[in-house]
Amino acid sequence: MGADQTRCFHCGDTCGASPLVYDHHPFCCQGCQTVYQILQEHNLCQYYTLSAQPGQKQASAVSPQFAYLDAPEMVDRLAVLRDPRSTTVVFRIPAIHCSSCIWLLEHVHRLHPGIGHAEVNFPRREVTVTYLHDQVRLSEVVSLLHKIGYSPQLNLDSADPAAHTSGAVDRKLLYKLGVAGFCFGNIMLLSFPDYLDTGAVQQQYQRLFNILNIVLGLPVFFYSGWDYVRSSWLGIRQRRFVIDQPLALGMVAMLGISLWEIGAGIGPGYLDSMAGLIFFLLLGRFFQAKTYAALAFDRDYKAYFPLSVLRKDAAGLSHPTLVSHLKPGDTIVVRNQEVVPTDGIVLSPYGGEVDYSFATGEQDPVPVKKGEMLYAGGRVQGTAIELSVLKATQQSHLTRLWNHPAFQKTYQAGHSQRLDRISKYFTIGILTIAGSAAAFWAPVDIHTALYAFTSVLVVACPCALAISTPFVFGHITRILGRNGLYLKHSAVVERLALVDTVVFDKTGTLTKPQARQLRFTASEGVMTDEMLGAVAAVAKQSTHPLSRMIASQLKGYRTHAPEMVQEVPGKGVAGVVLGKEVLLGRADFARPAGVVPVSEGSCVHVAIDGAYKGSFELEPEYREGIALLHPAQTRLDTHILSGDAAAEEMVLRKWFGPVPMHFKQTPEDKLAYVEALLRARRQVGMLGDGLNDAGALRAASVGIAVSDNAAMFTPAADAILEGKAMARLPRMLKMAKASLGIVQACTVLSLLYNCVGVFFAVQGELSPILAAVLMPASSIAVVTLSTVLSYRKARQLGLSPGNTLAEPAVIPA
Amino acid sequence: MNAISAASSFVRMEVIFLLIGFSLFVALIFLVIFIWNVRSGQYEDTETPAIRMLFDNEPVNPNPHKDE
Repeated sequence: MGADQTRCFHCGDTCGASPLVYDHHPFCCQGCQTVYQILQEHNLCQYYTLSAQPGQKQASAVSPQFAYLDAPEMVDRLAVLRDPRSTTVVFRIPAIHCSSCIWLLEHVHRLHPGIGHAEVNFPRREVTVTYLHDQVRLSEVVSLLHKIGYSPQLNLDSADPAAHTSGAVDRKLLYKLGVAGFCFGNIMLLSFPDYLDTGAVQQQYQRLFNILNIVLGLPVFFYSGWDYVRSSWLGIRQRRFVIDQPLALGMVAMLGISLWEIGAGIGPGYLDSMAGLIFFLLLGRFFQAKTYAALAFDRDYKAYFPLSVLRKDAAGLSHPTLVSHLKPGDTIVVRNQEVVPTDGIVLSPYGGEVDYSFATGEQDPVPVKKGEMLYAGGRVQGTAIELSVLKATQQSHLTRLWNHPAFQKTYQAGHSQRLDRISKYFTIGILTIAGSAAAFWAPVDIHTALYAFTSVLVVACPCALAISTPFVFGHITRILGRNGLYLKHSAVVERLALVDTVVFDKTGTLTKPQARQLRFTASEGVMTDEMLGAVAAVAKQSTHPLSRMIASQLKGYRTHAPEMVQEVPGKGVAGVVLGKEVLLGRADFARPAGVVPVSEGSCVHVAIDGAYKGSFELEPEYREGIALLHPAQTRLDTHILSGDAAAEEMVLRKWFGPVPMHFKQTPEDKLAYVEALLRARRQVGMLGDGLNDAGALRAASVGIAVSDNAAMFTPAADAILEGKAMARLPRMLKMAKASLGIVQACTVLSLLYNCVGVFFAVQGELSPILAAVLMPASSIAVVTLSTVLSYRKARQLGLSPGNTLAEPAVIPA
Repeated sequence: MNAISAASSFVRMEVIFLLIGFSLFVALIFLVIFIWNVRSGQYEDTETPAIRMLFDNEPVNPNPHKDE
């Protein structure tokens, strides 16, 4: 099939046997060609030269209506800035993926004179657009973006004022780091004469230098390092040990001894060590603060539901209305591929089909009849469905899950529990040593006793210990991110390392959600190529998603335009191609009475010239690398929960062996199952993809949302896993487990440095220069060790950058 | 001889006050520039400008299909 190799000039999809040709370029569909025409008209074809085939396939020919966006309250909520002439809005556009996208969106002003400036934030997949509101309306801007293939994401969430969160990097941390770096560098410079200790000539300047050091040291302590002091004070008040306590103890000791020494004119103090300590600590924090701005880990149902829906008024005309304005009793129309925004009763006489896979985990679309209850969260397939609204969205069946206590649970972001445990022994340990040293020296010389006490606190300050964890976890977070597992924050590494039980959802997690294959089961006779071509031709004319799937799967066959096509809502499609009558649709439509169907479930039956030919059936497609998830390989207690009936059990047994499997699980069942495992003191890693897993994901020790397009909606979770990275999951868990060992190695190293320092300190012989050398040396050694060990482990597991694309055949033990 | 060298060394060392003040001043300027940069949002998005700067080198009218 050589023709299959022709790629659409716009989106890069295969064009099939007969591509549309426009301006010497092949296109796969009318939508792609239209985008090209628009861009060509406005002199924007550089779009196609920056990257090859940069476009997105135009999903539907029907353009959604955006008129509801022009309501003043809507503009108020979306706008970030308004002045008398212009309005600035920020749109989230998940389709942004390459440099062409940036270029086109930043030149969008060429498409309309009313659009002024547009600026893309690539990591956040956002574009900030300023437009003159007397020349162009918000709805026009959005529809323009939609027309060129960059539909802004508009859902209940984007109308939420709280959704506009602050920047990717915490600005305060940057300021603190900047101040600490500036002061640290200058204090080091001014302390140099002390290190060299070159006699009496400098005496007069030394005094000036020391005073300057105090001036520079105070902002480091009271601005840059104040968080540590405050957090340890908080720990004391709550009677718990945190790693910040020994740090703050060291900081206070260093500042105190320095002020006293300089004030009394007896020495230079340890301000250089203190500034260095705080600088390194903040550097560790900065390193740890890596976030994935384009991903949202805390989404709730609001991000899934649409912003507007078509509502029918008394006269039977439909207008787009905000979902939040829906009242019980309203009549709404939900079209193909739209999400049912709230619970309601079906009014359409023929009913329709709803895909609940995301909401309940049920794999096959469910047929619904007139008068049946339809729950929020389903996606309508094929014909539009009319509904009578029963409840407001906030009270619908699905959103009730969010009121569960699992959603009230919060973790302390970035806080390592292991480190806090160590800090208990550490704090008690150094206070004991310092106390003993003071007690030993007290009878001899009270000055030396005081000096020994403070210098133990100074030198034992666990800077290296405190930065080892952020650096190791920061490295691991980066390594995992490069391999397709994005962690919400680096403290998740620690919880991931402790996971001993994994629970998988089936639909959308182990199987692919969209790219489902159709399996044709023939009833009798042979389907000739000519017949398949006729089926493809008819299927192409239908808007039903199953028909579209058939059409795309049969793309390679030669088709002729049908002479006649008629779509019967809720039943199927009939057409005549080259004199042959083709029926595609539900059993009662295409299958003559008395013929035994070849299979049950959601399938499209085919009849040609009155003879039943068989059916196309959805076949769940499992993700690559499922075999690697077998408990014998991962050595993890594995469980499978599915919202589906047990139809796939045999297939799953083949992959997973005799593991506990539960079917027909409601979202509440899944949550209860995970909670039961947690009560049995298991560390549960839950993998799920849909709203139906949201409760379980939140409750689990580590909730991992599986997504094929990480910029799209995912339920709230601690981590997001790219669907295609599933095969690497066992190795990534091993990597997380290895992190604990690496942290331990770094801990031992940093403790060794502390021991050396304490050895001198208890004798009252800690010179400032020794402290100034020991502290950065230990920190740098720990940073180096953590880097080397992390990347060596990544290489061993085949997770280093060069290896990420090629899957090693054998899993290293 | 001794007095002269002492005096000259005093004069030479005097310059340190000036140098220290100057170096601190220069470093302070850099700190202010850094804070200003953070404030202006330079660290919010470190990726897009790197890509955007490549566009400016393209010809002003890059469309070969149309001659207006």
